[in-house]
Amino acid sequence: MKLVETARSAMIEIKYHKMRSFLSFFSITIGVISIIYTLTLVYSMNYRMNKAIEINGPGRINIENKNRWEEQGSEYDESKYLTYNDALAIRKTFPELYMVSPYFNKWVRFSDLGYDTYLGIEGITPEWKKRGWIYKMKGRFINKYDIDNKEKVCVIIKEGGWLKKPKWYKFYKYKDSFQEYVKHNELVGKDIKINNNLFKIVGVLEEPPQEQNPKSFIGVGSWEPNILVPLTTLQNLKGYSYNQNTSAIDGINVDTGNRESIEKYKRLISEVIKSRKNDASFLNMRDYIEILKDQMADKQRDMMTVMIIGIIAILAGGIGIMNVSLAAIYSRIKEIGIRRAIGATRFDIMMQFIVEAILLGFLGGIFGVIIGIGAVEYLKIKGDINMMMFRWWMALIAIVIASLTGFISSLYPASVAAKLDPVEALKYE
Amino acid sequence: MIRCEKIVKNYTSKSFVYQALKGVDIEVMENDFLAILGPSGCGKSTLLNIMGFLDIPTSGQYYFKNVDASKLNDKERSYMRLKEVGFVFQSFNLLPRLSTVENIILPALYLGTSRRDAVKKADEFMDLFNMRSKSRNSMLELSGGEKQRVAIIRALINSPSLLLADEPTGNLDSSNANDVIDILLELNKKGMTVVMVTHDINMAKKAKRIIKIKDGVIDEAC
Repeated sequence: MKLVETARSAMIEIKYHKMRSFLSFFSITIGVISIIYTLTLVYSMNYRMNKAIEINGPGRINIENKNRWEEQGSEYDESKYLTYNDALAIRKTFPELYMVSPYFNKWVRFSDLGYDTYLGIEGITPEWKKRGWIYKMKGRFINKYDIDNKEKVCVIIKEGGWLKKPKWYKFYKYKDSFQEYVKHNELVGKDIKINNNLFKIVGVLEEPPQEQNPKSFIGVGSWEPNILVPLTTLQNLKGYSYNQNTSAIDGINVDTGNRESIEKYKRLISEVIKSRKNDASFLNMRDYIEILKDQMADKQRDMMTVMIIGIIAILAGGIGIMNVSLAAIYSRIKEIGIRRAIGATRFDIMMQFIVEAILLGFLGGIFGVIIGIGAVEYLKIKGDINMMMFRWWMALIAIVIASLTGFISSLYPASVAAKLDPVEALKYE
Repeated sequence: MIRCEKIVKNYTSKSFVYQALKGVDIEVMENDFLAILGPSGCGKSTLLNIMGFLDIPTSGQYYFKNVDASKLNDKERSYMRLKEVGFVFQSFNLLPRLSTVENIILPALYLGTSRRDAVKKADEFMDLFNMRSKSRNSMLELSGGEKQRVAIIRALINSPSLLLADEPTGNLDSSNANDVIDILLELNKKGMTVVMVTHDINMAKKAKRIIKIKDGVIDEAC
């Protein structure tokens, strides 16, 4: 019998037993919903991870002091801390590295006329702009001259705001007073005070709106400052920092240019530091992929939970289909006998039950996809950024899995049906 | 056309062996109309099932158009049922969820005929048997006589060379029973070989030949 005729015959049976059919594909539907959800999460995470790597550099290594977050005592030993000179030595030894960007953070007092606040600022070098550059620039960036001459200049980072504020934002009460200040003042060329030292704002870096900001979309990354100053200037500026000594820095961001060379340069940089300080054990070197994986671990756990629920639901659906198919065989023994008597082969009988079960799985899959897409769209509107990455191939995969479940669960019942003796089946009442 | 040589059929259960046929020899020529007569349980339906490739004899040989049935595998036996043999049963054995036309075209669809061609052929038969107006009816809406006519059309849809009828009038009143026998006679007149199993001597008398079976052996042939 042609497949289309077998499918037509299966549809007649499904329609005839509406309730039984509905119950057997219902759990498949639930399974498919969780498959859609999980695939969306997996895709979103992968996308975000790749995007994060693209923005932050494929060969990104972060080098910090292991004891960076421990407050330094009175006895400062330069050989146990990263310094700006270490960064210069790395740059000099490995000129082929795409980026060697040392950084140093401090809490300072910022004041301008009536406005006064405490905030974190970051000391950097011009190499900072080589990675993670998403900004629209007004004025200029910190240059080599500023570093060499410890110029009292700074660059302000301005948040991009929202094109259209999401609903959940209504419940988000916190307003950043510094960003309010930045928003309402023309800052390029302005003189402000940082810890009572006069600084000139030479540039403003404007982030893209939140919806278009890859960094907020990625949802991963470390704390970002509001003000950037030359690293050498900040080292000589009084203010609160974990490293009180002028020569110490917080860390160095390195980008080798590609993923493959990360391990090699981790080792080489460690050797350079060791040759300078006789010890490199105080270094904590992590590549960016590791950092991202740590940050995504929680989400992976959630995803696994949903995936397990989905697998259980699909399995339950499969067992349901198997049960329904077996019950159907026992209620249709006579029919099987008639079909065999008029010439149906064992294969025809097998196909009849298999196609029926595949159709049940397929229909369950279609319903699951419709509900799943609805749920994903709903979560998207609600502002869950993980939910933004639904793709149509996910629906296809979910439907294929659902149909495959129907197929696998029908194999045993179908073989039972095919093995029935036609004479005995015909006599069955 | 058909040759049965020393056909034995045993049904085995855990405690005993029941011998339904005890060495039956029958020959059926082309365009024959053979009635197999006998009481219930004498083995006549078993013999018909063997002739129709539904059952396999325990021993003995069954030849159909000189083909040894014992050499055929399950798929080939299915094909013989589909193409060479048409079955008509006492209880009609129609599928209740299908309409008249859907029941009729089922063997044609199993043979791989397109739905369009199968329906066209079914329409011709239904015109012939005066069933066209009932083509969309469900089986619940048909009378016993109509159901048996549908069953006969279904048996003829793939143009078989042998029609096997197992008590075709058993569930019908005398008027419908006579109609069905007339149809079988008409088909036989047109060249169809018919083998009919019955326990009704009056129906059997309408056939060209009668074989009486008793306790699994041929009692009398005339």
